[in-house]
Amino acid sequence: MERYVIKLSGAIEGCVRFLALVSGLLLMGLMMLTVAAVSLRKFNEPILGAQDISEAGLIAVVFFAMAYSGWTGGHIAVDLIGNFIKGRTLQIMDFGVRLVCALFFVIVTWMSVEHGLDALEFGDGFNLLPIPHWPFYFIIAFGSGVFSLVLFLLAARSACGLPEIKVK
Amino acid sequence: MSESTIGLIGIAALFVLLALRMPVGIVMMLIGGVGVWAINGSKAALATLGSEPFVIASNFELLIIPMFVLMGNLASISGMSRDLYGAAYAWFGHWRGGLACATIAACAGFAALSGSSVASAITMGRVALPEMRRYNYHQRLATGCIAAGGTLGILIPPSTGFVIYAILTEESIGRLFLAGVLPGLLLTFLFMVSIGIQCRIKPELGPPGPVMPMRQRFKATGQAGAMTGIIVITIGGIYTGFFTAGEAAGVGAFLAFVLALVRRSVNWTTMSDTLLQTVRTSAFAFLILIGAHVFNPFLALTQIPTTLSETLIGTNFAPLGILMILLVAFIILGMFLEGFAILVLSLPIVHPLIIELGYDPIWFGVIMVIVLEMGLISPPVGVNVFVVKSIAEDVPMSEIFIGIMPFWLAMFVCLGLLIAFPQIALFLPNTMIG
Repeated sequence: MERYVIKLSGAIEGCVRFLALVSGLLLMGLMMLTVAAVSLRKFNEPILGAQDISEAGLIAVVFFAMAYSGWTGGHIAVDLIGNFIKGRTLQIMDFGVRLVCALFFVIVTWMSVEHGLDALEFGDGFNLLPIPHWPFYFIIAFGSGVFSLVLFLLAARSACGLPEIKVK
Repeated sequence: MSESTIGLIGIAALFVLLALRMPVGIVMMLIGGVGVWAINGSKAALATLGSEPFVIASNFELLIIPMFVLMGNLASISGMSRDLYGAAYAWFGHWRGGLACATIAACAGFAALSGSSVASAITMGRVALPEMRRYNYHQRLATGCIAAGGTLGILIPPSTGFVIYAILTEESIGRLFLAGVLPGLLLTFLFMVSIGIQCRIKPELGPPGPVMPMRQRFKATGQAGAMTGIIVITIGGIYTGFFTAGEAAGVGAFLAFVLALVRRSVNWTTMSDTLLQTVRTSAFAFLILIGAHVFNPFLALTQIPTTLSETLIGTNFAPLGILMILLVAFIILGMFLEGFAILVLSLPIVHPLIIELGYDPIWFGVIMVIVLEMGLISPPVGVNVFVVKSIAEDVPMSEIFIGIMPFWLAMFVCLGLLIAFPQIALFLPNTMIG
């Protein structure tokens, strides 16, 4: 079991890191868009729908990075009990907590898919540009799904007594 | 079961899950979702869980969070922290405790580029600590001033603390940023006064460095000019209405990127690390905000905030008395809970109460951020203390905490002054925005 978890950890680490880099590059793109929008507005040539593009892009930035943040321990938790409980007890507790979180994010993933299908059916979209909402609900579903996978794997690591992931 | 009872069970469960180390954002989503399910049924709960991630992640105003985080991280790799410290060192270094004062001044300058206290403490700590060691500064003063100076990151705009406060309370980000300027400068001054007093009582804490000739001082100040330019453009742009706070963040990040390119600090490794660090921090901030937007409607359904507000006002305590109770509670909570967790968990209850008591919510935002700063350096879970410990591994935690105490008292004085003279926070937003 431990061997598989370690193997899977390597694969998932590469995957979430890649997604986070895509997220970072998208953020750089949004940065350029903001500068262009501000500059062109001053020359009375505003970019039509710049806000729509930023809103859509922000969804991808956030949800492509969600799993990486979870994998590297970026999601803040209140670490009080860690001062009193150590070793196997702490690992069993972490296993339980991470499993609950993973199952919860399965529900969030499922609900995002449902909302995406609704948005597709009703033709929801952004304000100025004809960008539909549904692909972005699916991006949320994808990001949440990968985050859920990460949480399952972190639970498995706790169960196997493997060390916490450190940011490189 | 009444809605209030469900609410109380929910709050108790929230604290249990937090104690079990469940991430704050997920706890709030989970309890909020289950709570709405218990009161309004499964359809409402599942609809909230499906819609809120989209609503929050597509909020244009929130683009400010990743942009300002990116700006701070790019400022770190471009060497601006060294320039800042160099300039402050040139002017203050020859004072008794001058290197510690230079650290505080540089932290305040860096805070105007970064919205994060942790980033400020790490960046300035790496630059300032070796210098203070070289001049035989006492480790208490050296580590204490870095930990305390770093906290200025969330008070001096841009501040992620203000952005989260603004989003949760629907206050103006621009007004909050303006409100943070004078208190930030006041606290910087009080930190320096605290260093001065410590070094007057015990001169061996901070021996003076060499006196720099005037020409060298101006040269060092000139080298920090690029950074000053970015601050003036971004913050000045907001104040003059040239662009919104969100756009300022994008422009500031771009300028920091250009500067890093010019200085040849950008390569694939530094850039990928910067981007990973930026999106990692941003994702956690968004998860907390999504959690807050699932949890807060549940809390509103339970009527607990209204009931608590009516009960406290019904006690006939003077508003100042209630404010004091709240502040003491926040300071105690700050010793055990992470600052953002306190902000998102308490605001739905406290914000309506503050308005009911007749206090200005912008002013209260500043007060809350200072209280969060106190939490960042309070034992046993002061995040900035752990950050400083990671830089100064040989210094015992107890020494760092002792070193922090005078700065903690300075924050206390700052709080007192702000309560006595709310104009310190409100002057700029009232005169510049109206």
